Amino acid sequence: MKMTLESTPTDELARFAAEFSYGDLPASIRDFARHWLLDSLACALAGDLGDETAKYADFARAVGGAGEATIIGSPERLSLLGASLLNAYQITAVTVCDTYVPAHVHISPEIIPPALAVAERDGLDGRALLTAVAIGAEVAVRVAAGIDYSIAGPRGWHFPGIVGPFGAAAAVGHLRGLTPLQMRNAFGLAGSQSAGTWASWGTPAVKFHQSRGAGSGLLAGLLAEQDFISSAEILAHPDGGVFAAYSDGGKPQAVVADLGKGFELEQISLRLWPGGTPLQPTLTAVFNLIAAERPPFDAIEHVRIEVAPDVYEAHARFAEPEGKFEALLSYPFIVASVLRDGRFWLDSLHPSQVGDPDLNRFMRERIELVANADLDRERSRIEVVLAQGQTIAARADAAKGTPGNPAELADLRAKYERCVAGRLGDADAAELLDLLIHVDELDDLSRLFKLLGAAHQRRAA
Amino acid sequence: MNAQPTQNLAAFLSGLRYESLPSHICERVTDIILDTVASAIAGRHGDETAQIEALATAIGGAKTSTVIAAAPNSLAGATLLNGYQITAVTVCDIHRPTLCHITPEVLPPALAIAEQRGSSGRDLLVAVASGLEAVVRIGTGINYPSMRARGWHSPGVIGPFGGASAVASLLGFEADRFQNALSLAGTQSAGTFAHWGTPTIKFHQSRGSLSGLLAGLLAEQGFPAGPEIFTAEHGGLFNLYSDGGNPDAVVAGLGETWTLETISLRLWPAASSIQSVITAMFALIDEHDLRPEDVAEIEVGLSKTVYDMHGTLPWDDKFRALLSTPYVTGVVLHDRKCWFEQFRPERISDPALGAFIREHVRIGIDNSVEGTGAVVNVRTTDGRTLRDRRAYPRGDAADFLSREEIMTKFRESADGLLEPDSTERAIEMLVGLADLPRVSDLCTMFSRGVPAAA
Repeated sequence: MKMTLESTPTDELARFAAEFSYGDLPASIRDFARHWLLDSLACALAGDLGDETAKYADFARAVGGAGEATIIGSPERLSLLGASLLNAYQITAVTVCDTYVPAHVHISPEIIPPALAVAERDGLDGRALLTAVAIGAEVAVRVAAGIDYSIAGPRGWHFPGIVGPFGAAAAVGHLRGLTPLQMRNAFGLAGSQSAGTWASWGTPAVKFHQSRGAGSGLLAGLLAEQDFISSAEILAHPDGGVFAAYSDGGKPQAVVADLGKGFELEQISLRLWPGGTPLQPTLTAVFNLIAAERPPFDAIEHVRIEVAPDVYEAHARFAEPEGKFEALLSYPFIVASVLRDGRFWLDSLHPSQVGDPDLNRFMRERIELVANADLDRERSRIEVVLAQGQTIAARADAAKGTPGNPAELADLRAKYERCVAGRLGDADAAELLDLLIHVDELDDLSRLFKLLGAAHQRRAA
Repeated sequence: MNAQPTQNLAAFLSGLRYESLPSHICERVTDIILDTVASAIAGRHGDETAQIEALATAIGGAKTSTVIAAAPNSLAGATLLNGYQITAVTVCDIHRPTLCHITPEVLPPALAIAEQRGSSGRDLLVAVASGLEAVVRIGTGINYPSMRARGWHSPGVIGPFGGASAVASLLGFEADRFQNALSLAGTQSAGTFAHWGTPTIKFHQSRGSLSGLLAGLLAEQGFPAGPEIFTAEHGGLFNLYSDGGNPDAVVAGLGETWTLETISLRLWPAASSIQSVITAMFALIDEHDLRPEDVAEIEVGLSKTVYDMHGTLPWDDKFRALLSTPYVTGVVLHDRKCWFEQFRPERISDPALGAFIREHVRIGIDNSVEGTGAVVNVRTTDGRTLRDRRAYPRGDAADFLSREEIMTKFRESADGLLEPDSTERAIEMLVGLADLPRVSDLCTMFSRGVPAAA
C-alpha cells in the first residue's frame, strides 16, 4: 500500500481538501459559498412541508437516537448520524435546493449537514464552517465532472449518493484537520459507499440518496480520522475505481484542472422556485413577463410556451398533471399558476391548486407547449395574447439562479422569507438571516444553532 | 424471464415462518449463527477493530445496543461494529460462488433490532434465515463473474439485502413493505475491489450491515421506493452492476430449495481459498503424526487461480501471512494449530520457521486441482510419500462443520474475552435459539463482565 502522496488526481484532490484555507478562498467564492449556505438552510427550513419528512424524522430518530446535533426546525437534538440524515433530507425534501446541472446532482444536502453537526459538536467558528462546506462542494462537483455524467447518467447512476459522500468527507475531514494522507483515505471510504440509481425515480427514495450520501461522508471522514486505510487510488483504480465502476474511465483531468485557482462550485445553480431544473428557465421567463407588465388573468386568450425539443419530449405528457409530483414537471401548470397568482411557491402545489378546475380549464384551453429548435435547455420563451389582441412576450436565456443569471442576495432573501414564513418569529428570522449573511465573521456558532433549532413545526413531525 | 423478481422474493420472504423452515434448515441456521457469534468475539483481536469502535462511538446516540464481547453502543454503532468484528479476523462464513461474506451484513442488524424490540430467539432464527436466503439468491441472480469483472465486491452490493430482509422479518412486514425494504437496500449497494489489500475491503461488510438496518427502518415508516430494484431497465442492479444477470435464479424453487445451505464456514483465520491446504495439512498431521523434523519436502498443488492469488505471497506482515500458502503450510506443520497466535508478528518473523518454509515448502500449479481445492504431497526424511487431496476444505458447504467443531471454535474465540460461564451459557442459548424467549437475555451473555467504554 502506497503510504505517501504522489500527483495522481486522487492525491491532488486530497491535498487540496486538507490544506486549502479560508485565506485561499477568493472573495467571490466566499460570497458564493455564503449565499449557497444561506439558500440551503432556507431549503431545510422549508423541508417540514415535504410529504415524507415526518416519516423520515421518525426514521432518523430510530437510527440515530438522541445526541448533540441540532435538527433544523426542531428543538430535539440527534446523534451526528441522525442529524446528518434528517437535515439532509430536509434540504432536499421540497425540491427547491441547489443543482449542479452538468451532473444532475444536488450538492448541499450531502455536504452541509455533516459539516454543521461536526462544527457544532466541536465548537468551531463560522470561518471554519464556511471553508469546509466550500471545499466539500468543490470536491463533489470535481468528482462529478471526473466521472462524467453524460456516460454514467444514461447507465442509471444517480449522482448525489455517488459524489456526495466525497464532498461530505472532504468537509468533515477539513473540519477535523485531517492530513492529506488521511483525506485520501477519507475519499477512499467515501467511494466505498458510493451508491444510488435511477431505479427509484418517481419515488422519494431518490431523495434518500442525498441523505444517505451525507451520512456516508460523515462516516468516511470520522473513520479516516482513525487512520483507517483505504485504496490509494479510489478515483482511477482500473479494478473498481469510481471512474471505471460508474463510468467508462471518466475524465481524470477534470478533477484537478486549475485546482485551487478555478472554482467549479460556481457552476452550482440555486433554485428560486419549486419545480424541476428544466422548468426554471420558463419560470424565469414568466416572472420576467409579469415583472414588466402583469396581464389580468381573465384577459388572457392564449399562452405559448416555447422550450427546447428534448425538454418538450420529456415534459409534454404532463400537460394535465395528477398530483404534486407531476405538477412540478408540468409547464402548463406552473405558467398558469404564475399568471393567475403572480407567485409560485410550495402552497401553489397544494392538491386544491393542482386540482383546481378553473386552472385546469385554463391550462387545457389556453396554454400551448411547443418545441422550438432554436432553444436549448437553458432557454425558454413565453408569449401571451390578450383579449384585445395585444401580445406580450418574454424570454430567459438562463434560469435565474444559474451561473449565467446568478441569484442576487435580494432574491435569496425573498426565498428565505418564503421558506421561514410561519416557522420563525419575525425577530428570530431576521437575526438568523443576518447571522447567515455574516457567517464567516462568527467566532461562536451557538446562537446560529439555537435559532436553527427554534423554528416551529408547520406540519407535525 | 421473471419480470418481477423483487416482488416475488418479497412475497416469499414476508411469509416465511418458523414452521415453514425444514428442521435441517433450522439446524443449519443455528450453526451459522453460533459460528457468526464466535467470529464476532474473535474479531475483538482485529487490528482495526478499535478504529471502527471509535467511529461507532463518534457517530453518537444512546448506547443501548449490545456489541458482542464489548461495551454497548448505539443501534447504528453496534451494527457497524458487530459487522466489522464478524469479519475482522477472517474466520467468518464465505459463500464461494459469489465470494461474499454474508453473516456480517445479516446478523448485526438482526441482533440489534431483536434486542431492541423484545424478539424471541425463534424470531431471530427466522430473520437470519430470511437474510441469508435473500443474499444467496440475489447473488446467484446477479451473475457474480460479470459483476466481479466490473470491479464490484459482493458484501457491500448484495449484503444490504440480507440485513434489510432480517430486519423486515423481525418487524413483520407484509409483502409490499418488504419489497420497499429490498429496494431501499439496493439503492445503497456499494463497494469495489479498488480497496483490495486494505481493511476498507472489510468495511464493506460493516457498512453493508448498516445499510440493511437503514433500509429496514426506513421501510418501517412506509417510505416508498422503486418497485423493481433488480431488473429495472434504468438503474436496476442486475443491469447496472452486471450483465443483466439471471432474474429467474432469484426465485427458482423458493421454499423448496434452500440456497443458504451453500454457505461455507471456516475453522481457521486464513484466506478462504487456502482453507483446503490447511485441511490437508491437519489431516496429514492427524493420520501420520507428521512433524517438521520428519519432512524432507512438502509440495502443495493449487489451481492456477488460487496459485496466482496465494501461491507465492511473502508473509512479511499479518495481512499477507493470512493469505500466504507457504506460510500457512509451514506454520500449521510446526504449531499444529492455526489461530491468532500463528499470525502474530513474532511468529511471522521467526527466522527458523522462515528458513524451514524456504527450504522445504514448494507451491505449484496442479492442473488436476479445481477451484479452491488442494493436493499436498509430503516426502519424509525416511523416504515415505504421504498425500492428501481435498476438493474442498473442512467447513465447506459440502463438508460442513459439526456443531461440536463450531462450539470448540466458539470457546477458543471467547477465551479471555467472555467470562467462562457466560461462554457456556451463550452457547447453550444459541444452540437452543428456537426456544429462547428473549434475545435480550442472550445479549446479556455477550456483554457480561465486559469493561464499560471510556
